Amino acid sequence: MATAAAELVKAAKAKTIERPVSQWDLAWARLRRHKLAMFGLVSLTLISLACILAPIIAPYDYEEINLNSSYLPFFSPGDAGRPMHILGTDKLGRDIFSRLLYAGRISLSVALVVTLLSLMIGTLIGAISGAAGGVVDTVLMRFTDLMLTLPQLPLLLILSSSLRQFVQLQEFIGSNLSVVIIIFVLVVFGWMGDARLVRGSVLSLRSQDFIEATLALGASTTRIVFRHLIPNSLAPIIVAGTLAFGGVIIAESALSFLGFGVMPPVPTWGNMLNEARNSPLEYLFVQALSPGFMIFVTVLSINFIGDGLRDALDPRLAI
Amino acid sequence: MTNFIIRRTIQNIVMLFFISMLIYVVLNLAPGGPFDTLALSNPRITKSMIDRLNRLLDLDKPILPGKYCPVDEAGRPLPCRFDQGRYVRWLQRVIAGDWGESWTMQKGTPVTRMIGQRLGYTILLMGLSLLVALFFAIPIGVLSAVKQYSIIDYVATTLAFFGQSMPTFWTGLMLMAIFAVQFKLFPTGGVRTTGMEGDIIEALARIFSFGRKYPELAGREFAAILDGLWHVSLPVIVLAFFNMASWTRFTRASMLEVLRQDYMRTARAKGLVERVVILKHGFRNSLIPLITLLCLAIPGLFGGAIITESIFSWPGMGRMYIDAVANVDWPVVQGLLVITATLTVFANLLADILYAVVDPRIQYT
Repeated sequence: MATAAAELVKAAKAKTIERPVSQWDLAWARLRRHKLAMFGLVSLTLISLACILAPIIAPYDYEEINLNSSYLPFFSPGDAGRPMHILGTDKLGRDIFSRLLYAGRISLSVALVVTLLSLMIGTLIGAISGAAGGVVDTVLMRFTDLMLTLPQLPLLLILSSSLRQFVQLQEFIGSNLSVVIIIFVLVVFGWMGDARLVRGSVLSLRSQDFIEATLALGASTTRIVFRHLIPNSLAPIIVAGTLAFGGVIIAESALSFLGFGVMPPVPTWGNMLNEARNSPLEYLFVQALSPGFMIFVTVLSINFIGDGLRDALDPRLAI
Repeated sequence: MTNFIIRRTIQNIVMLFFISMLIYVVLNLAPGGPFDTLALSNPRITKSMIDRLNRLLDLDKPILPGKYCPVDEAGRPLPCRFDQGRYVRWLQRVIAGDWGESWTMQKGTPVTRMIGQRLGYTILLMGLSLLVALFFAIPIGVLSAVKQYSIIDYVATTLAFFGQSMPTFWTGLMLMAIFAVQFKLFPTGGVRTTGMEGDIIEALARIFSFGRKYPELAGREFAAILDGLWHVSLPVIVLAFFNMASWTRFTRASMLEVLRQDYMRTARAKGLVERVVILKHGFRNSLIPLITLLCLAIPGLFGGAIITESIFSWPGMGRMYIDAVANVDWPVVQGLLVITATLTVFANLLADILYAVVDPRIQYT
């Protein structure tokens, strides 16, 4: 690790870069030496790009039904003049490869939104709790404990199935209701870890000299929280957020797989697996392989990145 | 220590009170009740009949204590009065041991009996998978800590990453497609072969009751147990692989922590053989944090695995739970949630206590 920093400093001198070497530059240098994290970063970027560019890459529309060619195996030729079904077709003859790309858009964006929202809520609650102390801290932390003790998956199932019963909500939000519901329930159960993390970090920062100096300069509590406490807790928040991102992808897929998450026709990797489970057994392998593989590779990449980030951002390592 | 236990127990009971209230309110927020399907299936059932049925089950009362404005048979409003609310009523009954009766799944069956029917299957599945996971994870974890940064360590760590990133619903479907459908080595689900009399749980019950229960199974217990083990293998592999990932990482981390301690150097300085140093001084101490994790696995032992049980049609608590949610069978759902929450809360306490018992360095005040 020491050599990485030294090289960076040398490079900076050689190129006469005017900008000084920051903590983030050092972290990036360390991350680049983490082979698995780099592998994760590259594959996650590729997957995200493929999903974002789905309208261009996908050979078929994800809703295009062709009842004459249902349950086709891998690499089956399409109808005359149409592209090949690389990963086969599903029950309704829809191209699995194309659906996979569109499903990735939903799965990834749901996970991104959920992670960011829970990070925001968790950071806010943790920072308030740590900065305020006293009764506020006790109440907020007991509530966090309570939420952590609740059985998660069972309550996620209940919440998402009961929210769907509200007709007014359906009229208000429309056909994407199931997506909105899943984001909501996953955020409700997603913020506690971050809150505890940020609170711990704020508590340890609060007693440090630079905060006292800021106080002496007359800064307001809000300013201290948002300009000093939260930015200084950023490193653990980033690591936790990365690992949470993978967890959310699995949670969303699990709910959709059980039929309580995102509802068809909107495809996600989870509900594609749900459809695979209901297909005749002889087609199970072809139907289930690719959606699950996408979940696996995505989550694996994210876990690798998270592991790398933890090593890279850990200030205890020699610089 | 006694003080600590008493204080924590009281805290836990208060916590359980709030948890149960939260669960009850969330469950009852949803519109709809047990008689909705009745009204849909039979047009001759009128609104007032449904209302009367709801009144019988106290479903017209407020959820939390508050104002209750009843209506009479003809729908005319009666004077409002204070009502203790459904939650308090329900809580009193639950504490008294009356967990209610199923609304839809097995109409009229007490929830406790339904849980009793499923418990054995879940404990079998979860217990076996925990044992298998520990059997492989602990040696692998210890080995990869002792030989840190060796090939074994890298392979073990990478495998752990794989296990954590593979969702059970995918590994379950893939194992089923490969080993049950393609090679026909295992059944695709269920607990016993069709036509087989008695399953593994009944056979075990017969053996442990010395033949008093299930007398018709006499002489066939062994076959039933073998058949049951054959059926449980795929779900056990799925769950064990998933659990192994985290157990390996925990064991490794815990062992690495111990290896750094001074007493390890002392043990070596005394001239002990490396094997004794690692196993007797290192490994035994590294088990301390694992006790906590083992306690935290208790709720799962009874709560079951919702996903794996539903993939392999295993008649355990997890599958009952998801069926109950799908069938709006709230008494069953409430019963299962109360069990899981209670076990979680007290497993936490047990973990803290055992931790202090095993490790004298830890003292609670």
